[in-house]
Amino acid sequence: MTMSPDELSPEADAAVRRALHVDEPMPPQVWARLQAALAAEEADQPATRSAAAHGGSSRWLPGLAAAAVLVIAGALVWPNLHPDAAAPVAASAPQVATAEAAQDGAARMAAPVNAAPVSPLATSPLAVGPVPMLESGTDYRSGAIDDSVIRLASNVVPDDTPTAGDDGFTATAEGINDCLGALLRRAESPNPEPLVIDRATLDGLEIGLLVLAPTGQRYEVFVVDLGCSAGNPGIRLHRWVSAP
Amino acid sequence: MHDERTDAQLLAAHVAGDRQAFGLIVERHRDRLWAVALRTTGDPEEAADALQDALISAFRRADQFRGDAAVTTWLHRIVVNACLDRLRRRNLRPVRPLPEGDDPGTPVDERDLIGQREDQLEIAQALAHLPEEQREAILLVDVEGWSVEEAAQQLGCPAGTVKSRCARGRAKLAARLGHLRNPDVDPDVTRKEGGPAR
Repeated sequence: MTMSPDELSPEADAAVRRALHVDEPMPPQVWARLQAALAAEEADQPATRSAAAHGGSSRWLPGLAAAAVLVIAGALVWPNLHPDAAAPVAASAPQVATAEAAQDGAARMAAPVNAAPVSPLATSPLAVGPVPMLESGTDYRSGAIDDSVIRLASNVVPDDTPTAGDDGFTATAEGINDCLGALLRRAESPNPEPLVIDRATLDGLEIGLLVLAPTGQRYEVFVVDLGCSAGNPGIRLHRWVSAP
Repeated sequence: MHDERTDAQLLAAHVAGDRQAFGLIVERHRDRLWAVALRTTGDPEEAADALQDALISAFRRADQFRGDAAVTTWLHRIVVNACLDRLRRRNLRPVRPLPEGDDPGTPVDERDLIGQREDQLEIAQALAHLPEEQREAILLVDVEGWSVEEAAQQLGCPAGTVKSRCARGRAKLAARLGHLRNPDVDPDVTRKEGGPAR
């Protein structure tokens, strides 16, 4: 009997199936990143989704308009209701460097960013105060970022450079302020205060890493694209790291 | 978090404004979505990027879901399309060569990893060359792990159709990937006697 050209022997068929099989669950850091991205999307676009959901039916428009007003009003009022979240980091806020950076001398610490005052009616940035900036040169690894964050948060040294790099949000005080505002609005910490920003790489890709001041024994951490902005923070990772 | 609602009910709830619903769907199927993204891109970083693109797109377009396929199939297609888009863009970019695995200075473990990564990328390329129907069936059954019957239900076609699409797709993949499975053997010898080369 002649076999069909589309048929494989059972052994070859099994070999292909084995080659195709993926026997690994989604890594936790990918899941955390997706959750953060969806949460950011939810925060950014509630009215848009509702409009699409109802097919643009005009009878919903007054309600949508009211909802939009509420959302905008909430965004404006929120910082005033949560002054701690928008409070500047104290001038004595700790400044940090990674252990790796301290070893190779590549770290470039930054002085507090003197962010321009933000009007209560400003639409995007929160009034973010001075934030220690670091350009450690560390290549963080997705699978081992917790230890690196702990090292980062545990090593404190002063410096006097307000920005880091020639491009991306870390290159200007405005960019840092915009990005921080977007991230602090998404923070889960009850009183989110930036502890340090490190311009570095994650698995070889350029990123900015923000560590917030600890809540209990845990640090809230964001990893964002260098294009992080008020409207699109580009969150690649959002997780909590427990101090040992 | 356990939720009794079906995927379709959750998607409808998402469209209606339930802030948790879409996340619940993704959480329910995240390992399968990861598997299909990883297999279709052949690279964990690309897979994560593609998944994020796909899920944001699905999140925004949820109101366009018409219910003529399962929610999982709809999501699966969006993920695969996002992965193929990335694959196409990657193929347009200048290729950054992998480190030389044959370099005697490269540690054995690293050479293994490089070889594995090359294999994954070749599998992804081979999948991308399959006809869409065959790729879809293979991804559902062999990568995501649905049974033939479940895949048939999701695709809205008979189980026999899924089986034959899988078989034809695997044969094409074997022709492309045979050398990876056994470098010393011509890929075509894995075929049954009498089968033509392609």
